[in-house]
Amino acid sequence: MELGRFSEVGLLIMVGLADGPKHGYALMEEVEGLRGSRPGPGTLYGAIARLEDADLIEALPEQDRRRPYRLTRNGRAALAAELASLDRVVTTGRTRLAAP
Amino acid sequence: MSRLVKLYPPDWRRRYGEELEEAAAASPGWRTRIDLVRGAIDAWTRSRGGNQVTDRLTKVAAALMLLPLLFLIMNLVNEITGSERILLEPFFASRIGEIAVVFSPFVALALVTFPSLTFAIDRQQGQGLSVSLRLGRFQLLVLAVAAVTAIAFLGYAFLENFVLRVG
Repeated sequence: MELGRFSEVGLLIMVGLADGPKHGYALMEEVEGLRGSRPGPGTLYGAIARLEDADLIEALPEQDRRRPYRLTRNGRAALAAELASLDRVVTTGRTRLAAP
Repeated sequence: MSRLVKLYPPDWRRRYGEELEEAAAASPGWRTRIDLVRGAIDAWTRSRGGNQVTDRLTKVAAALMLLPLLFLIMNLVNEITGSERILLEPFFASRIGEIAVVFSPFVALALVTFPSLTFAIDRQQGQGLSVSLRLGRFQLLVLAVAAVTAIAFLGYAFLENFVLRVG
């Protein structure tokens, strides 16, 4: 995923959407829960716009003046690949830290 | 906060404006304000989210602004090298063809700025390591026209200074 400075928030948004559609405010809270700090609205919607452009997420019809987003098929595959890559990094890092 | 949301491109505001305002209202403060300004700059510099008409006008304006500068540089080179003032003579001539030949390198160089500016703007869009020069058919056509006009001028300058005036 080439999202520039939005990579981290972009990944967390996708993780937040992995269990179902969510609107912007709920995504902000998801990201806050995952990284411990709330993303700014410009950063959040900058990342959402990029993810939409990259066909990784898509907007659903409005509900109560709020537009939910969900992962696309491409997004689900990209997220799985990204998490597998991070998993390798985590495993390698832990193994090396544990080595004397 | 809504004033800062107005900094975003119109297309972007239509798409995300209402949601953005709601999210900004949920966390007021100077950090949110700075984040909104950064987001607006990012939105304007992105090709799809940004205003494409503005992007095109910027390219045309930049190309036109180069013309007087290039003309000045070429004349300075002429002064320094002491060569004939072939670049100034056409101002006093009535032959349109001659004027066209003399101005052709400036047109050529201005045209060349189009693909190079495309490259520069792509780079601003934060593509990370995947920065690439997009050379579509239109850019290749522009480069071909630029090359032909530049060769025409160089041929003219060579003939004028080294062939026709010998003896």
